[in-house]
Amino acid sequence: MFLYVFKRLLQIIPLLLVISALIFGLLYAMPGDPLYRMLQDIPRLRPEDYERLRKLYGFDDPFYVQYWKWLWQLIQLNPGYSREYGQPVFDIIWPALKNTLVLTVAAVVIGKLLAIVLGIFSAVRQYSIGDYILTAVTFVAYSVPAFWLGLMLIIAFSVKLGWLPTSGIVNSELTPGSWEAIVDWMKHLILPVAVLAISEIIQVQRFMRSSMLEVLRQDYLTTARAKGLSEGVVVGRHALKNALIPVVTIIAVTMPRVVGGSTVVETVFAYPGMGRLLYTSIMGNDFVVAMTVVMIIAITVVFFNLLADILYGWLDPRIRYQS
Amino acid sequence: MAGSTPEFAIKADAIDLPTAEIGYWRVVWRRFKRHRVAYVGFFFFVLLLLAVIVGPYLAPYELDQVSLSERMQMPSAKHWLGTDELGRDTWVRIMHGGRVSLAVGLTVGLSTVLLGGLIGIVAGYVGGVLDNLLMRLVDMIYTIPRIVLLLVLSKLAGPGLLNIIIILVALEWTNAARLARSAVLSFREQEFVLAAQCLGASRWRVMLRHLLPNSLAPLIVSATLDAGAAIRAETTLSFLGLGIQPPTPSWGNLLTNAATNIFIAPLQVFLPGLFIFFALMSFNLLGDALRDALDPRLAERGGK
Repeated sequence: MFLYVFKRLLQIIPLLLVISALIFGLLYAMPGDPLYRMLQDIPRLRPEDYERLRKLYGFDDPFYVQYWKWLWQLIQLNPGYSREYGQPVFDIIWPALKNTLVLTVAAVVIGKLLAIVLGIFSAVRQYSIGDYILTAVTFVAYSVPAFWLGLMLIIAFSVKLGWLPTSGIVNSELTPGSWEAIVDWMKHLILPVAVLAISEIIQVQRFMRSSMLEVLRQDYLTTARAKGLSEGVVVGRHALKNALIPVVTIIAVTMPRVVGGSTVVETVFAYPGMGRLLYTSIMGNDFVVAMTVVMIIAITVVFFNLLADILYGWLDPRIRYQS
Repeated sequence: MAGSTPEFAIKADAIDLPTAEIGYWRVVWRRFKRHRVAYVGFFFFVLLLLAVIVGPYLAPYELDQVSLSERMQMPSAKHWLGTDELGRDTWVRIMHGGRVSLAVGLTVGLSTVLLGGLIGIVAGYVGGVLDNLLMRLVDMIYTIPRIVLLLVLSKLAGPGLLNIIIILVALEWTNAARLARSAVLSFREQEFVLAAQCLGASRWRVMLRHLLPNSLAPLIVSATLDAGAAIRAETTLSFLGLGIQPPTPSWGNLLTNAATNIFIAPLQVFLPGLFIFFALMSFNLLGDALRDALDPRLAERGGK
């Protein structure tokens, strides 16, 4: 097992290198180098000055040299300065990362837990009215685009009812740290968390239902019932353990999708997180920031894929990895 | 041709094959017709298609006909779905946007299956280094979060209908390729392939005449679901300002445009999204129904 994990970790390095080179190459190929945009506002600049600065900053280097320089800096944990904000990349990324973690962790925990509970309910009460309604609702909701759902929630709760703020994260009029500020911050979180959590529920509920149904048919549960165990213990302890195995894997595999979902949701709600930073940095040609965000996302994805495989083997003793 | 073909092959051609083939598709059609979900999905799809084809001609307005005296109106007999911030008729704009969005969906759905199906069949049948390379490419596209590639590629390519179609096909052929490959792997060693090889069929003939028809079932389902996914991706990108850009309307950019006036005219935000939802819904329903009709074994597992 240990050897297997070690081997997989070793495979991750070339994978990340290829991903980073690919995205770097695509960004490199984009028209308009960072310097040009930076110097546009200086009218006295002559074309010779521009060429001189290009050479100075190494923008005329071939692709592989620029890539290598960037990589070497990143390995030393010094990803550079943002062109747009003129600040070190990490100073921009930390707050965004913090915001996104709050958003996604809240959404994932609420969404997945609800999905599991609803999935169990649907399976135990198969073909009941509740099951039909849940199945229909998740099927319909699957076809609702996330950005539209977000806008509909804004219309309902901000425009019509006026209960919740439409966008952003803080109200600058309130003193930071006060009760009002914390309540206000939570209010800002409700809608984005809801949209993300709903998409989590849609993804997982169906899996939980079918996985549970499969387990409920098995003989060992009849044995458990025959021993005189209550239905709650049979479902909650004996069945749940096995029904969760494929679901846990699905959860780990779908975790990276939260990244994509949060890009859209953060844009709709103008929420200052990693997804929005990814979007604004790519749109604004802020490549150093974009590359760092992409690398953080890529590492997350690769990590969760590995975690899914490890969890799968650990939870299901029938699967053994050969090292 | 007939003279050189062994006698038993002619017999097999004349008696066994045709009945078997017609039989399968007839059974599929019968199962599809029995499927209630199929009717709903098909009904929605045809309705949407008819609407976007005929729709713009039903109202007496041009796509960009501005009427500043009628800005952001509610639906009325004159403007069925109201007007936008420049007094342009929303019905006409949504129908035109639907042409673009549905065209993207259908083109991408069809192209991903053609391209991905072919790649998958070749990878599965030829195997070896080629298969390995192609599958690593597929893994690669899977591993990089879709949103990163979508944003970077569409920024690089610039806005435009053709660009967005190419990008979506380039990213989504992987599904069809995996499905086709695994289908081919499952019957590559079966007798009918061996028989074709023994009769001297070329590689391409084996792949196109024998392997392709047998992998068709999952590919058709994949085409339907890919079309839905493409519409979702296009509208999302257009919503983010990267896909189809004004003055060409798309359901996505109509929504973005309306969102700036969400406090004054929320209905104008609601309507384009409703049509996106209808389109996604009809493709998903169709995909489900087709999956059940084409392969009853799959129906058991995928819920209802």
